[in-house]
Amino acid sequence: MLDMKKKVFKKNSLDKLVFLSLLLICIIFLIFGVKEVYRIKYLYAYDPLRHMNIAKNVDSQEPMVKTIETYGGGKIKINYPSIMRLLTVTINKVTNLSYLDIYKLFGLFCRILTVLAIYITVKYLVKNKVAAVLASALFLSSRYVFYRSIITFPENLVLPFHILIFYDVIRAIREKKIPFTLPIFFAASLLIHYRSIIIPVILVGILILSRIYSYIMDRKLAINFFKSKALVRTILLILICVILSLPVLRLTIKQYTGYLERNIGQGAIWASFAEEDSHYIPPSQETYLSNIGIILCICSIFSLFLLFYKTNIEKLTLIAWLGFTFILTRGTQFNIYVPSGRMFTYFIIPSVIASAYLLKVFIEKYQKNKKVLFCAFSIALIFFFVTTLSETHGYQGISNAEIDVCSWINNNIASDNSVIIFKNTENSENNILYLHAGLENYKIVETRKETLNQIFKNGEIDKDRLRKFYPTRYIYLVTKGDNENNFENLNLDTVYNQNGILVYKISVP
Amino acid sequence: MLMILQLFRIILGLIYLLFLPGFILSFLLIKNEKATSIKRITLSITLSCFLVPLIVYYGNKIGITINTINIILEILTLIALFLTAILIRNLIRKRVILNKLKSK
Repeated sequence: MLDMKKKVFKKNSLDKLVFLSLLLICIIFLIFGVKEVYRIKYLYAYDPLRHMNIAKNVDSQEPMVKTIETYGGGKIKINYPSIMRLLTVTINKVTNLSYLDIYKLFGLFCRILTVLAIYITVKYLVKNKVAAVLASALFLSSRYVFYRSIITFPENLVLPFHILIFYDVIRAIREKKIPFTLPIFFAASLLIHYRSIIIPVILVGILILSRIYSYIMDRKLAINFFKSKALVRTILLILICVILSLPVLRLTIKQYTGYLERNIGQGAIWASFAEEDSHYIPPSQETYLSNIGIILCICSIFSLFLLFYKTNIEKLTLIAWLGFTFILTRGTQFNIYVPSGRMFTYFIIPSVIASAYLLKVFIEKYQKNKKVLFCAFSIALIFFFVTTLSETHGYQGISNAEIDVCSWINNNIASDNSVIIFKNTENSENNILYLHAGLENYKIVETRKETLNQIFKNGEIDKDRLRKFYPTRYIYLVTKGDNENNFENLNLDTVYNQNGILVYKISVP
Repeated sequence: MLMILQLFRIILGLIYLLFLPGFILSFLLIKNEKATSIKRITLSITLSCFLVPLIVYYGNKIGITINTINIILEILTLIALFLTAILIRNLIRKRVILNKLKSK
């Protein structure tokens, strides 16, 4: 009886320790995250700015905004719809939080959710709470994970769903029964970020293949399946998934057939472009080490031995996930033209889950000093975590110069005028590439180069075309000072000149 | 005072949007004995993140405009539906158990 009480007490104290550690890790991460997010004036990159502006447009347009009305009369195609924007709209409406605050903080919220998903998945997979907490800390200690957390986009929200799909697949393999949550998570990941649906497709594909294999090996099992309620359950689950994902199902199929033509294979359209663009070049070993983190790299490499030792379907699923995401990070080498850098997040998650196998071996080896080991490892991780985070300063995509000119335009130019943004620079630093995203209230915001080239050619303005294209009284031309077209020689009326950005006022007779 | 009210609105609003619908649905989908508190919290938030925009989306498709009151009412309807489903399921379970006992 006394022994039993001691055991219960020990279990409870370990549970509390585990819970407190998880909480502590999340709090430290949030402190650094919030501090970093509010360090800069606006948003970190163009992506959240774009999503934020689409979310604002949701109020006046349909919820799954596929186009955004910024060009006079015309529309820009938004290349994918996502329910994440709709979620931010509901948060704005119900809590009255500003869109800027929501788009600053939502990425961090998604990351905490990812950590919780990793915790429950690892705990179920390796049956060890301590390993689960350490794996969660390992995930957050990655520099790349931190950097991506401060940017709000659908990729961040879809990650917990990918992990939970893996969790449900493992549950289905172990318990031989497909959980009801699996089709819901599948549909959710499709509706949030349908571009990355290939990962859940692979995970669910492995589950289906393993089932088919077991039915081929055992005919009785197959006959029982077709006779039992399991068949009805499976059909019902597929139906739930299809019904829930209806809004984007057709679009996803269309998009993926497009991917097959444009992005995959030696004849892909993106091939020549990818050779020149640094985002498409496979990362070096140093890039892997600096982005993923040294501890995580070491843990995941050693975990591979454990994964290949006494392999079962669960481990095979994880190997397939890990292998596929690794291939994605080195896309161009395999004739898959995807930006390598963006694929790191997808690769880090299976790496962290795989690392749990190694962590479990360590913990079990030093079973007697479990608490001491746990505390020592936690301190080491938190130390690493704190030093990494304090060094990480994310990429500041939107320059202050751009914010200043945008707010100047919004305050000084009436919205019934035309704004022309002449962007000829390929350099992402301090450019005016996405300025239009902050000027969505204007009647005409022109950025199309082919149209602008027709108006401004040979150092002159074709006023007839200007009048024809933009029938407003005044036209405001936004450009960088070092513009190759040299607008200074045209003696235009300069109304704004700050931080290397010029705004000219052109009156149309 | 206004700031405190705003803070309350944010906290309650976030719980209502990002936790409650998923939390109630989790009782329909997962058995009590199988779920730890962390698991239930995680599933509640993830399910809510999916359900809330989806119900607003379909609501808008049938002509309900996106505003604060409509969003609150839509979620309330969703919660009521889940609670009814839980009640019906429990009633069926009770009846099955009673029938079994009677037959014995």
